[in-house]
Amino acid sequence: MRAAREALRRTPRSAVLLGLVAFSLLPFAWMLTASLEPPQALYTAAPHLVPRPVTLANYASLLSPREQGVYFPRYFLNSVVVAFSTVALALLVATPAAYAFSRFTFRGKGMLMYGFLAQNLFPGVNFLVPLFILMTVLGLRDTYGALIIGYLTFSLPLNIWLLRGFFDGIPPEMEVAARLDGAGVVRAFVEVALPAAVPGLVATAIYTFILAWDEYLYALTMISSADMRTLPLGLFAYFSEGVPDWGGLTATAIGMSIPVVIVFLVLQRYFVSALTKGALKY
Amino acid sequence: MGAVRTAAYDGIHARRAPLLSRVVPYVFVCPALALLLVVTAYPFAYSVYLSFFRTPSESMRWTFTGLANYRAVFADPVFYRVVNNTVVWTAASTLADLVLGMIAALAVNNLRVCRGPVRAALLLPYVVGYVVASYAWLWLYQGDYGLIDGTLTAWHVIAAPIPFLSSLALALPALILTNVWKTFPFAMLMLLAGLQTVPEQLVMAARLDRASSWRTFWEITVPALWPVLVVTAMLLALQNFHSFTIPWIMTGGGPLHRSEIIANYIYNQAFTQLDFGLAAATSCIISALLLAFAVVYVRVLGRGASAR
Repeated sequence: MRAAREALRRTPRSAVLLGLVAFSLLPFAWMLTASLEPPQALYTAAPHLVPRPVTLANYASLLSPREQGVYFPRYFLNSVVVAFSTVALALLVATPAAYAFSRFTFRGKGMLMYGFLAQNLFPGVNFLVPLFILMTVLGLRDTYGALIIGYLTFSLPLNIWLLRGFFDGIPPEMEVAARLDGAGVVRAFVEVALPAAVPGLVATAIYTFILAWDEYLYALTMISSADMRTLPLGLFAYFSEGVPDWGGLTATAIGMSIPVVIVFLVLQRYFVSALTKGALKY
Repeated sequence: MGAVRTAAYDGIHARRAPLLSRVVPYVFVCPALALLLVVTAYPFAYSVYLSFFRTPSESMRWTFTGLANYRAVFADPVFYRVVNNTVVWTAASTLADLVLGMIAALAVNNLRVCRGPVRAALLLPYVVGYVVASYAWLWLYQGDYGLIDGTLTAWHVIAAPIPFLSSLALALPALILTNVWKTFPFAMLMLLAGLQTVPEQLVMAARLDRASSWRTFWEITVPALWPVLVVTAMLLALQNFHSFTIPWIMTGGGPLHRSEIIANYIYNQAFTQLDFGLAAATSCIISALLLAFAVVYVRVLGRGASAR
C-alpha cells in the first residue's frame, strides 16, 4: 500500500493525463491510419501510425456505389432523417410535459413522473418483441417510422427529465408577470418560457441526436432491406464477403463520426450541461 | 425553492380560472403520456402476457402454456452462463469506469492550461458511440495486423498473436476494456462537475495541516463527492447492464457464449431461435430483478437524504 502511494505521488500528473489522452485517442488514430492507406500497406508492414503511402481511395469509394451494395450516402441520408425526426418529435412532445412537471402541481404528478423515468430502468431489448409485433401489424416495419417510434423508448424519458430540470432553473416571475398582464397559460409558455429555455432545448437536442445517431438494436431488428439501413447497420456490409475490407470500414466509421464530433465540438458546453445536470437531478 | 415558485405560479391561474387551471397540466402532459403508453406500457404488459404462451414462429396460433417458458429459461445452462457474464461485465465495467473517471476528473480539475481541449479529447469516445467503439476495437484486436497483436509481436513480447476475441478466457475482458473506453468519460464528466462543489477551504486547511494528498483525497474529497459518486455508479451500472452492441458486433457473444450478456441472449431467443414467448419470459425475469434494484436504490437514496 505504502509503495503504491509513493509511486502515485512520484508520477507527475501530466504523465497520467498524457496516458489517458493517448488511451482515448489511439483507437481513432489507428482507424485513421487504416482509412488512409492502400490495402497492401495495411496487411504487410509492421503496425505503424503514420500512413505510408497516403491515399484517399477509401474515402473516394464511399461516394460511389459498390458491387456488394455498400452505399454510404444512402446510409448517411437514412441516419440523418431518423436522427433529426427523433430529436424533433421528442422535443415537440416532451417540452410541454416537462413544462407542466416544472410549473404546475396536479393530482398524479409524482406517479406520472416516475412512470416516465421507469422507462430508463429497463433495457431496450425488453420492449423489442412487442414493438416488433406492433410495427408488423401497423405495416411500419422496415420504415423510418418504426425507428422514430422505437427511439421514443429512450428519447422521451431523457427529454422530459432534462427539460424539466432546465425549466426548474428559469425563474417563473416573467411568466407570472405575463399572466397578470392577461396572457393565457399557453401564451406564457410559448412566448415567455420557451425563449428562456432555448439553451436547455439545444442541450437536450444534442444529447438526443448523439444517442439516435448511434442506435443499433432497434435498427437491427426493424430494418431488413439494404437501402433502409442507417449508418450503424451499414458498417456491417464490409463483413459480407469473408475477409473484411478494413480500409473501407474504417473510412466509413470515420465518416460516420464526423457529424457527431462536429456537433459536439461546436456545442460542447450545451452537451456537457445536459449530461451532468440531467443526471445529477436524480 | 421549487415548491414556492410553483405555488406562486399556480396561484395566479387558480384565482382566475379554477377549472381550467386544473385541466391545463393534463393537456400539456397528454401527448407525451399517449406515446409513453404505446412505447412502454403496452410493450411491458404485452411481454408479461406473451411470456405465458407458446409462440411457434411458423404460425400466429399461440397456445397458453402457463409457466413453461419460465421453466425453460431456468433449465437452460446458457442462461446461467449469461447471467454470470452479465454480472462480471456490469461490475467490472462500472468499477473501472469510476476509477478511471475519478483519476481523469482529478487530473483535468488540476489542469491550468488546455483544460477545454483535454476534456474534449477525453470525451470523444463517449460521443462517437457504441458502434464506432466496437468497430475501432475490433480493428485494434485483429490477430495479424491489429495494433495490439502486431506491436507485441513486432517487439517480440509475444511469439504469436493472441486471438483476444476468440479466446475463451480473454474475450469477455477484452470487450470490457472496450466498454470502459466508451463509458469512462461519463464518470469523468460527472465527477468533474461534483468536484466543483468540494469546499476549497477544507482542502486548503488539510494541506496546511500537512495531510498527505492521499489522506486529503479519502477524507475530504471522497466524502464530499459521495452523493455524486453513488448516482454516477447507479447510472453506469444500469447503462452497462443494458449493453447490447459491443458483444454483438465484436464477438457475437462467442466463443461458446463466453462473452454473451443478457441483452444478446434475449435478442437471440427472439430473433435467432424465433421464440417470442421464451424471450418475453426472460425479459420479465430481468424486469423483476431491475424493479427490485430500483426499490433498493430509492430506499438507499431516501435514507441518504433523511440522514442529511
